[in-house]
Amino acid sequence: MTNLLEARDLAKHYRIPTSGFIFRKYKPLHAVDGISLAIEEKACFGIVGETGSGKTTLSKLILQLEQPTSGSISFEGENLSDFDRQKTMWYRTRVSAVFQDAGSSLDPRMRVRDIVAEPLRTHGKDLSRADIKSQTEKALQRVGLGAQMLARFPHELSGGQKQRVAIARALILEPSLVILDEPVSALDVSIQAQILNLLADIREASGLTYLIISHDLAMLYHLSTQIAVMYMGQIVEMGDTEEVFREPLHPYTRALFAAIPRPIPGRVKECPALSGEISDPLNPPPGCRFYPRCVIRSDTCTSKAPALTPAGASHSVACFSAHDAPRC
Amino acid sequence: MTGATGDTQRGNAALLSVEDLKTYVFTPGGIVRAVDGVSFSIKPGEAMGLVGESGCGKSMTCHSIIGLLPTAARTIGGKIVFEGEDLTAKPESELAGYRGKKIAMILQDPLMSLNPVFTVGNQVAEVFRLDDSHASKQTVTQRVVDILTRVKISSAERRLRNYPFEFSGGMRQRVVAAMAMARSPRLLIADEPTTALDVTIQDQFLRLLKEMQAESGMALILVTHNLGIVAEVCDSVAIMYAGRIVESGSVMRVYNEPAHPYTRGLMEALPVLGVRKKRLYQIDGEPPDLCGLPSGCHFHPRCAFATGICRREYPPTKELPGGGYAACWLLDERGREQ
Repeated sequence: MTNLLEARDLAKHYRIPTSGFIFRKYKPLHAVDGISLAIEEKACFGIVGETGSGKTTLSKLILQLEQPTSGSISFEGENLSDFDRQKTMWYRTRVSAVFQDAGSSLDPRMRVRDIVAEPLRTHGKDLSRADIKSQTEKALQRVGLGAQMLARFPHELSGGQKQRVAIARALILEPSLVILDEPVSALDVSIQAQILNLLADIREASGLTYLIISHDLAMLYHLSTQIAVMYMGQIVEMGDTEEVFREPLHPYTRALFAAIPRPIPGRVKECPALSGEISDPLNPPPGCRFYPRCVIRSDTCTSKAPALTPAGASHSVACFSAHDAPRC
Repeated sequence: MTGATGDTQRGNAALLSVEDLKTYVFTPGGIVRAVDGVSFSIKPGEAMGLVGESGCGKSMTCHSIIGLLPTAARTIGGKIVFEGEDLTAKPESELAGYRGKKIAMILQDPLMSLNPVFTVGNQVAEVFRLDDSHASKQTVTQRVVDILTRVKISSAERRLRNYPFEFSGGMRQRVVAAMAMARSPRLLIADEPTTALDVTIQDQFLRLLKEMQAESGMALILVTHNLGIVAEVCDSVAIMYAGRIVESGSVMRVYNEPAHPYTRGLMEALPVLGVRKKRLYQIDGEPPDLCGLPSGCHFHPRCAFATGICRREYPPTKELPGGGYAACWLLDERGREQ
């Protein structure tokens, strides 16, 4: 399969003022720090990470809402940094996004029909009113909403309906890549299942590629075909979802899997909780970023950062002593 | 319904029993029946999970127990019997003696529970001074350090002088837990305590909560929408839907043999790590508006098994052979006849 989107050594550093008022001193915050990944066509690529792991910054870089400090992103083989204005407009019709909180990503003063049709008005050059209307209705139908929703305002919708409207807006231009940033984490369990099924159905019907960003491993296990685990701006483990879940290799991935509460009563947790918290991003530990919390750390880890290396047919891990971490 | 206790047999007398509790919110748009006939009981040392989707009345139930309702809400019926005494009949002055002392509460967002302009040490010390206003500064400080160490805040002596904003989310929630535990309550109500935390931090906090519960022998009501957390922390569970408990019992029984279609639906709707599901089971529709509840069983518009009687009458609560209770016509002769 061909790669739809590729990132090479992608980095985004923010300058954070640390001290001084007139003579400000700045420190770099490595939000995304040397990420390389490839998203295949028709794949469902999941990115999992905790707060501050840089997963949202990564999605912003792909959406061109932020410019990378270094590295490059290519879409269908073309480098994003070479795009002129016209090409960028084209790119925006090919890649769309659904954000976590539909309550704040929908304009409260616009009606549903205007929200969903807005991409058509921006990008579709000479569509007639009737065309726009029929396409909007079709898009709403696709996400399971009836025509009675057209005239409503976001505040008249429930959480699940708002997220459906956001999905309809993301799909109306028939993009090839949809970025889903925590698509269901603001929703109730019964509504989550509805939206997850809807997303799976849409992908099956139209051969879309998804990039799902979430902290919910169970959801990614269910939906994704490939998965990358992020920690402090870096990918620590990546591979086929089945393989990574069957045989997680990085100590962080293993600890993360163990920490997920599962609805299976009587399950005994044998390994201790992962100690400590994510390090200060302004003063990241030298060498491996996970070192301060790692149970299998050695002296090598402080001096050298492990690179992502292949550890199986479609599986790679960034750890000097992968396999050695306790599993449970 | 008299007990959500299942087969836990730690003590015979209930520490808290809630009987037919009704708390309504009086809004200009109508009366919202937030809690509409909730009954359950907890024994000392028991951990009960109160599970439900947003707006099902789980937080309102807890706020009714501790007597901290918003001004528009009033408990209009039922009893809350704590250590043999009905709290609904007590005047505010007496209730204040229970709050924090015998019944403590942890809220979802620790930043909302901590005062941003006082140091953490100051705020925890305040709790100790409530009981002993003449204690010397040194004793209070020592107690604060002890309790903060107990909730695993490293170098507590130094952190006393920090403000809440200097703490991470997980540490803030542990400070709140320390304040709740400071007066050794008999019952701790934790309302979505880990929703704002990352999974690894959530794991740390839940382990701490269990540890503290085991040490002190207090009872715990854990409000959450996460069925995984309940399976890990609780002995018994009560599932709420539209202001009522639809099913309760031991965690083992409810998870392995859910009796109510809503409980079954919730279990099936959940993606589970390590369990391949081709497609998630989906409960269609949305939770009802509490201002205009559907007739009969509140769940019937979303239920795959609904029959005529479900539309007309609310089902009686039946004791289940496997332990616990459920309110569904499928479990009743009159419902099965249909």
